[in-house]
This record gives sequence, structure tokens and C-alpha cells, in this order.
Amino acid sequence: MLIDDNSHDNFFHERAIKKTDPENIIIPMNSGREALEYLTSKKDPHPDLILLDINMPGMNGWEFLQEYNGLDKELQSRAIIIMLTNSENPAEIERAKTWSFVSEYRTKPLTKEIMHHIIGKYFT
Amino acid sequence: MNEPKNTLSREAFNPDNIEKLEVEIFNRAQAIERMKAELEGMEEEMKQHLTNHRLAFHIENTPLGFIEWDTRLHVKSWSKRAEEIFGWTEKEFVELEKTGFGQVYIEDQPRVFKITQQLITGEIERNKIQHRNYRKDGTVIWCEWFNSVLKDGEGRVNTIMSLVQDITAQKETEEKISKTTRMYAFISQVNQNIIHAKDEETLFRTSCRIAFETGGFKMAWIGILNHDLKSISLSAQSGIPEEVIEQFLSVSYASKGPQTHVLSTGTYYVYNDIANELELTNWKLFAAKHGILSAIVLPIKKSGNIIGTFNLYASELNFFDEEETALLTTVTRDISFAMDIFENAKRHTDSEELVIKNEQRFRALIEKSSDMKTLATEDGELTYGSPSITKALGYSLEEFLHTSVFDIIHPDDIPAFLEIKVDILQTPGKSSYFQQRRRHKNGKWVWCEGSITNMLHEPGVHALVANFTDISEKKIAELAQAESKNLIQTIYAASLDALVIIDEEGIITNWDAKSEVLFGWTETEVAGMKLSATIIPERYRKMHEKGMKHYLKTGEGPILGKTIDISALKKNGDELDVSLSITPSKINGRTHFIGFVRDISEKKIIEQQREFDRNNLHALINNTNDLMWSVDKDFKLITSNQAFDKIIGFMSGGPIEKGSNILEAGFPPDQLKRFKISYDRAFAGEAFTIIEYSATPVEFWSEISFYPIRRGEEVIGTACHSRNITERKKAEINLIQSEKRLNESQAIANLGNWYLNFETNIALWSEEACRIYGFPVDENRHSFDTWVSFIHPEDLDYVMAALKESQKTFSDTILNHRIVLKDGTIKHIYSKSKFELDQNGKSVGLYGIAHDVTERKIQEAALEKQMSLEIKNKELEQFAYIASHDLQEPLRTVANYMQVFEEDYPDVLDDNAKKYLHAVNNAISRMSVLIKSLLDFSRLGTNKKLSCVDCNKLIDDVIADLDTVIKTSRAVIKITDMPKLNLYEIEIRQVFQNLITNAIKFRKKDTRPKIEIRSEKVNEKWKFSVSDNGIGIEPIHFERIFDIFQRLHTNKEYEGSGIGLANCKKIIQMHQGDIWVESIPGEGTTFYFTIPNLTE
Repeated sequence: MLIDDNSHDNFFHERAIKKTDPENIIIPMNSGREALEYLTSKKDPHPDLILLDINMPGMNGWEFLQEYNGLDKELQSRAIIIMLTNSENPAEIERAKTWSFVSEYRTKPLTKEIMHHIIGKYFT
Repeated sequence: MNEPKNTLSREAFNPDNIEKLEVEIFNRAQAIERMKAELEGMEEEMKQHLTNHRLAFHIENTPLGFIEWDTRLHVKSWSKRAEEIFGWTEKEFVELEKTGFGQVYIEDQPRVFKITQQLITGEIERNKIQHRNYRKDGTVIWCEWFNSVLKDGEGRVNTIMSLVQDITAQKETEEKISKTTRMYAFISQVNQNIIHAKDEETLFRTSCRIAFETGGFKMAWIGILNHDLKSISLSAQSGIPEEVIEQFLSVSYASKGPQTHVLSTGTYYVYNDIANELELTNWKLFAAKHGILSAIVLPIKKSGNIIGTFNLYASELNFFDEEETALLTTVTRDISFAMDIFENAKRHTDSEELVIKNEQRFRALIEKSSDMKTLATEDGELTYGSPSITKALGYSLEEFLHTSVFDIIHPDDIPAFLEIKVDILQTPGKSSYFQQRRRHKNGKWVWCEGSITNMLHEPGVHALVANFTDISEKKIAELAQAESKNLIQTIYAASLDALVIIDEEGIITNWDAKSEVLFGWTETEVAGMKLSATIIPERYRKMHEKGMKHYLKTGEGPILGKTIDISALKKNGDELDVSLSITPSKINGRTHFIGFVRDISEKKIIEQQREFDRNNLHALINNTNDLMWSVDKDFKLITSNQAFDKIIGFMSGGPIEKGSNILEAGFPPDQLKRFKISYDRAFAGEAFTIIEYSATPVEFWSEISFYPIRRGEEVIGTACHSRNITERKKAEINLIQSEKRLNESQAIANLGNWYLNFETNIALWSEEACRIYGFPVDENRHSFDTWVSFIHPEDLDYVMAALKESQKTFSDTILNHRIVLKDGTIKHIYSKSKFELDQNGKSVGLYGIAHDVTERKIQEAALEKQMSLEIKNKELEQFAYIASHDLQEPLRTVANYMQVFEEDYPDVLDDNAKKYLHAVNNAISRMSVLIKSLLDFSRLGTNKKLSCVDCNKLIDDVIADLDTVIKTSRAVIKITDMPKLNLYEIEIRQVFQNLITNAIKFRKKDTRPKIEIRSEKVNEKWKFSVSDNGIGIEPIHFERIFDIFQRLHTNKEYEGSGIGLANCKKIIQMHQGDIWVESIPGEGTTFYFTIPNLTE
């Protein structure tokens, strides 16, 4: 699941993921709110990986994490969450570490190499 | 079912249907319009949506919180910043149904309520307001609100939008500054008050008033300690409400209360939160009732002893921080100090009086003494004579003064006297003995003996002082003795005696010329008269006749052949004291009585005078506290007065016998040694005065005079006179000290004072006033024009206008102006002046104070500048961060699509197109690097942490990180021993990394790079250097290489962003050090930087 208000980025990241494996199903979401609705409605498919932007209008990445934390534990445990953002601000990197269920912090753009790394680390 | 199509069929043209048709067309047109409108609406909505997005982004990224309220002040939206400011999340705020108004600090609510009502009713559309708010955790913060209203289509307000900023820090700083200013005004006014107040009561009263009015305290009072009652009595106060003042009049202090603490320790006591800190219930209630939240009690001292307390109450919590407390301690110390000055001034006046009394007593002693004293100029002109002159020499003072002393000295004695004079003139203070004849008014020579002292140098005397007595009696006696050897005839001829002869009957037979003069009877008048009828007073007549008969009968006469003193009668009836000697003699067979009569009235008067003088002298000598004694050449005490005996008895535990050795009396050995030296000087013939000081058993100053006693030419002993001048000395010392302390206190306060006399147009300046204006402290008289010449040209008009204005009403003038010193220094002066008016209300002078407030002005300006700089810096950093962050995003989108383009359309791109795309990609990645660098630069030091770092390890780590580059370039790096010191580790690591990377990067082709890293300690700073053998830098570039984005080489030659050295410079500046470069082009470069010993 890609959560990013920038549809260009979503488009480009979708391509990068597809390149690693065209079979991957991608759920692009344009806001945290939308993503939460998707998750709580328990629609299929349930995402295995969530790539989350921080700076988004309305609910931002951090707020999403807060709401996500309040979700059913079962819903949570099934997805790997990786921050994918423009910001290299150390303060934000530190802030991400305070969330135990955030696995990594990555700066855009998502590349084939990063995807290989993620798949290698979390999905094999 | 009628399909819409069918309505357009042929039968539709049936006239019956035309109306339907029209209706239908109308409906359709309307539907189309609706759809159009709907579409437009959608489009509008989309636009709106987009705008909202942008807006939201800005809202999230401004430091201001954004809140939308409905008209009941319930939240419609609540930004993240608002959450950070107030601690409430939007959800919490909405769910708990909180209102904005409920979060306003209670005291500010009325004000906020009013202005909010105006917004809600639409009376005003926007406003800006500062007030306090509660946070979720209950703390209070200051906020600045920018509110504006949104209205619905009918003009009714439906939304209030607010931007809010937490300005607590700013408010605190403002309050701190205003509080500090207030405190300084307080201390400055108290200091002025100290200068003008003349007594404790005024000082206390004014200090309390100033604390209340200027210091901003709620109440201020001074209490004086009453030891016996264990209480404090109110001495002065300001701000205490009248109805409770009675509680303060006499306060018994509790054993654990603040008063006890202050009185017993001598240090202040502070309550910064009375409600929670104070244990005394009644005072706690009092404080609560009168809104007192903090308080301080300070000790007031007098001569080092605590005599009371200065109590200050404030209506703020935590009012007395370290700085305020220090200032207030200074204020109370100044007050205590002022009291010492009052005390000194009083003691000074007392001892002055005593000195005057002593002077008077001394003068009286001189005036009553039979000793003659004269003062004369160097030329011998007499300027003073004691009254005894008249007695002994006959001249009245009018006759005597301003004549020359040489006119009355016997010509034979003048040469010797001139010799003495020449001698003593050579040495100030020297005195010498003389014996000479001086002429009586009646022309007779009077033998005088005494001393003359050169006191020309002595301030207030400026004369030759002579002290002498009439010794003619002694001389006459000597002469008489000598002359007794002469023939009796000669005596008779030269005799002053009158010769009277009577016969047996008592009839006068001989009456000589001297008798005529003596008794006023001529020879003819007395011829044939009985003696008893002429010169014998009535009361002796019987005795006279009886005595004569008795002799004629028995030949015995008890008075015959003797000299008796008796009274005789003059012709005019006056009685005359005479000495009479009667010798019977047979002349021509008949008994005659021969009588020698001498006028002794003059002698008798002198005798009586002598007797009187002796008694008087005795009385004087023994009724003074001055010590008088005389010592012979063997140091044996000859005479002493009672005062001397008493002191000696006190010192040595018993009286000293006349005749015993004075040097064995119980004085401390060093004092005896000094005395012996003085005695020896006197025995050598010198008359002089010394000042003797002894510290034990009490501080004691005495002025001791030594006068040699002579017999003929030989000195046989010395007379000594000691006067206690302790009070005078102490007064002198105290006066000097109190003046010094006043001057010092002015110097401490940078506060000078001056007085301008309008008559002379000259002002007298205090030491500190001179110092402020850059004059030497003794150059203290200056004209008004001189002062004007100091005023800063830009302030001159203002100062003159203010002075002119004040002259109209004689009102006090307060000036804040600058002065320019001769050396160009500019100072800020706060001055206050007051007119001095005479009884008629005419202004006769102007007095005032000048306070050098330059330091304060500079501090204020620096603080202001620093604050604005800090804000600017923050803004700039924020700007750079946001700008570079936001720039990164579109750039990445361009790069992404370039990649997509290349991937998706490889076939349509020819080689040229590929080359172009490649160039675009290069430019993009370069821009990305630049932006990243800018971002890093702006963020440098935002999380800096000072720690003690071992530079050896740090550099090893850097070299390990650069392993690949070093290996590829085959660089050799040599490191000398590095220190351990306090550094911002992450940042300094970057400096080494940049410098080493540069050293490798700018190497010469075909030369193996050699790099040396050194350190050495220079003047408390560590100096580091990184040298290479690279291409070097031209000297003209030494400065600009440290500027941001300055590069010397094209990217093709050497890659780089141009920010590395700018980073280094910023980091070294962060360490308060310097960085510079030295280089020889073609040979190599050395970068140096210094780091001082940093502490937190």
C-alpha cells in the first residue's frame, strides 16, 4: 500500500515495485484517512507492506501512525510499515524510531534496489 | 412509456401538443442550465479542493497554530501546531465539547469576551490580541491571536478563523527587561535619596516610597529591631493599607519566622511562593487577602550590627530571582551604608565641637596667663599680642600691633636676636631661647626671657611665635645686689627714696624734692606742720605719737632701724603703700627721727598680681586634662600637674614620686624609647612639638610639646605639655573616610553630583561627576558653557529646550542625553536637576546629579540586537530549510519522469536525444546535491552537543570512513599526537572529513598525495592544521573559498558542491574559533583552525 498525497510519486513508486515483480498488487492511497478507511473495512487484499509519506495535507504520516496504533492488533501485525518521504531531517528520522512498528525510514525515490532490499529482508 | 425521443415525433406537432412541447423545451433548457451550473460548481469545488490542499500544507508548516471556530467557539478545525501549543488534540477538544473561551486565562476573560463578541456579531472582521491561555496540563502560556471572521451568503458570521502563536518566551523576556529596568530605577533613586537624605527617618521613608512607586512592589516597610521585646517596630512604610497598619506597628517575631532568620544570620530571606512556603498562618492569610505572592526580608545594618529589616512584598510569583535579590541586597547595603555616613557625620560634628571647645580653653589659657605671647611676620611686624603685654609692657594692643618688634628691643640685644632669627628661619618648627630687654611704654627697659618658634609654615599660624615673661624683678634684684657695693652716698643719690626728718615733737624739719613728688605736699606747705597731720593716716596717728613718747622716755622702739611696709596719706587724700625705715639720730643735741620712704605701691600691685597668677596658674594647671610635667637632665620628675599624676597612676598602677626616674614609669618600652629621644632633643636646647599615637589600651592621639628649662646658658631640664587630640584626629580621619566613602559610593553607582552657582556661573563637580566627564578629580570647577560643550550635537537642541522650559517654572529637569568626551568617547547620561531658590523665590543656583547609564544603554541595545538577530537567524534557517525541502520535491518528479521516459521510449530516442536527456539528468542530480548541501548547511548545529572528544580517535574514524578514496589515491597521511578537548563531535568530524577529502581531491596529477595533520597549543587555544602537497590556491582566493557555493574549478576538473569549506567555517565559528588558509600555488596548501577551551 502506498500512502502519499503526491500522485506522481505514487505512479513512479508503483512502477518501481512492479519492476521487481509484476505480480505485486499495489493499493495507492492519496491520504492517511483513505488508507485507514481501507484498512478498517477489512477489504481484500490486506496489504503486506505499507509505504508511508509524512508530509501530507489533512492527516499526516505521524497522525496516521497514531490512528493505526489504535487499530485492532490483528490488523496491525500483518503489515510491514516503512516511512518513505522527502525529508532527511534527523529529527524526523528520530521521531520515526519512537514507533516500534515502523521498520525503516527511507527517502524518496523508491528504487528497484530498495525494493530488492525490502523483499530480501522482510519477505523471504 | 414515453421515451424522450418520441416526444419529438410527428404527432408532437399537434397544436394541442405545442403547449406541452414548450413546457418540455423549457424544462429541458432548465435542466441543461442546472447541469451547467452543477458542472461549474464541481469545477469550483475542485479548484477549492486544490486551494485547500495548498492551504493545509502551509498551515501544517507555519509556526502558527490554525484553528477554525464556530460562533459558539466550538472547534471546527484544529491544526497540528495548535495541538503542540495547547496540548489538546483536535479530537479531544471536540469530544470534550470544550470552547475556546473556556481556555482563556481567568484574568484575561473579560477582555477577551468583549472582543470575541464583536467578532461574532460581525462588528469587527479581524483583530489581533495577546492574552494568556491554559494548556491541557493546566500551565498558563501567553499567546498572540490573529482572528478573522467568515460570513455566509447573508452576511452572518459563521466561522472565526484564528492563527495563534505561543509568545510566552517573548513575554517573559519583555517582563524580565521591564522588571530589570524597574529594579535599576529603584536602586538609582535610592542612591540619589541617600545623597540627599540627612537622617534615617527621611531615608527610610523615601526608600519605602521608591520601592512602592518605582520598584513596583505591592508593599514596602522598614522595621527597627527591639531586642528586649523580641519585636520589630514599624519605622517607615509605603503601600500598606491604612486599616491594617496597626498590625505592623509592633510585630513580635516568631522563632521560626523570616525575621528571626534575617536577624540571626544577617542574610536575606525569600519567599517566592508564599501560599506554599510560609508556615505562619496569620501572615499567610494576610498575604492571600492582599494579593501578595512573594516576599523578601533583608537585613539593615548600622556600623555592622543588624538594627532592623527591609521588607518587600510583590504581587507576582517567583519575583525574587537571583538577579533581583542581588540588586535588592545592594540597595539595602547602600541604605545601611548611608546610615553609617549619618552616624559618622554626627560624630564628626560632635568632635568638631569638642575641638572648638578645646581651642577655646587653650586660648583662654593663653589669654589669662601672665606669659606674653606674640606673633610676628618674618620681618618682625607684630600681628598678635596676648593681653598680658599690656600688663607687662604698658602698651595697649592697638598701640602694639603692626609696629616692629625691633622698635622695642634694646639696641644692645638686637644683634643676638637677629642671629637667633636667622637660625630658626632655616628650619620650620625650630625654636630658640632668648633673653633680652624690651622697652616699657614708660621708656623703662624690662628684662624678658622666653622662646621664639618658626611657625611660618604652619597653616593658620604663618608667624614667628614668641613666648616670654618679664624677669625684670629677678634682674633688678641682681642689679641691686651688685650696686650694694657702691657707696652709701651713691645709693642715697641714686636712691628712689624720699627723705623726711621730724623732731621730738613730730614737727617736720626736712622735706626733700622726692617727698614733694611722692606725697604732693611742697616743702613750704609742710614746714612747721606735724608729720601726723600730713602723711600719717588717721588710724596710725595714736600709735605714732605713743611710739615716739615711749622712745623718748625709754630709748626703745620696736620699729626703729627696720623697714616696714605701711600706708601713707597723700595730699589729695589717697593712701599710698610705702616702705619706711626710721632711724633716730641726735642732731644738735636733740633727737630727730630720720625716715626713708619708698613708694612700693607699684611693687605691691605686681606682688599681688604674682600671687594671683600663681594661684591662677595652679588652678589652670590642675583643672585641665592636659598633662604638664617637667623633668631634669637625669630624667627625674620635678613637677607635674594632677592630670599627669592621674594618667601615670593609671598606666603604671600607682602614683610616681617626685624625684623618681620618669623612664621607669609603666609605659610600653617602645613609647619610652620615643620619649627618651624627645627628652634628649629638649636637653639639647630645642623646643618642639610631636604627635604621639598609641593604639592600646584605647586609641589615643596626643600632641606633646617640650620646652627646655635653662639656668643661664645651660639647659637643666625640660617642661612638657601633652594635649589629648584623639577626638580631633579621629574627626579628621572620619571626615576623610566619610568623604572617601561618599565618593566611592558615587563611583560604584556611576553617579556624580554638582552644584551650579548662578552668581559665579561656576559649577562644583563631585569626583565621580569629573570622572564621568573625563576630567581629573581635582579639576572640579567648570562653567555652564564647558558643560554645554560636552553635549552630543544631536542632543543639544533637546537639552537646551528642556532647560529653557524648566527655567520658566523652576521645575525639576530630567534629561536623558549623550555626551562626547574629549577623547571622542560617547556616554549616555541620565541627569536630574533642581533649582535652589532663596527666600524671595529667586533662583540662585542649580544642583543635580548625573548618572552614567552608558553601560545599561549598551546592554539594552545589545540585548535588543541579539534578540532581533536570533529571530532573524531562526527565520533564515527556517526559510532555507523549507525552501530547500520544497525545491527537492518537483526536482525529484522531473528526474522520475526522465527515467520513465528513458525506460518507456528507448526506441524513439536517437543518440542525440539520449545525450540531451543525459545532460538533463546530470543537471538534475547536481541541483539535487546543491539543495541537499544547502539543507545541511542551514541545519548545521541545530542539534549540537558539547562533549570531551579524543581527537586521535576522531581522526582515525574519519580516515577509516575515507578508506576507499585514500586507497585509490594512494594518499599518505601523517598525524601528530592529538589532544582531548571539548567539541561538537559530529560537526568537527565533518571539518576533518572535508579538509582531508579536499587535500586528496586537489592533488597534483602524477604525484602521490601526502597529508599532514598537526595540533599545537597556542595561547589557551588549540591550533590544528591539515597540509597537503596538492595544487595550491592563489592568495586572492584565500577569503572567498570559505563562502557558500564558491568554487575555483569547473566540475569537469574537480567535482564538488562548493559548500564544504563554508560548512567548515560555520562549524569553527560555532566553536568560537578561526579558520584560515595558507598556500603556495603548485606546492601545497595548509588549512589552519583554532578551538578555544569551551564550556557549556
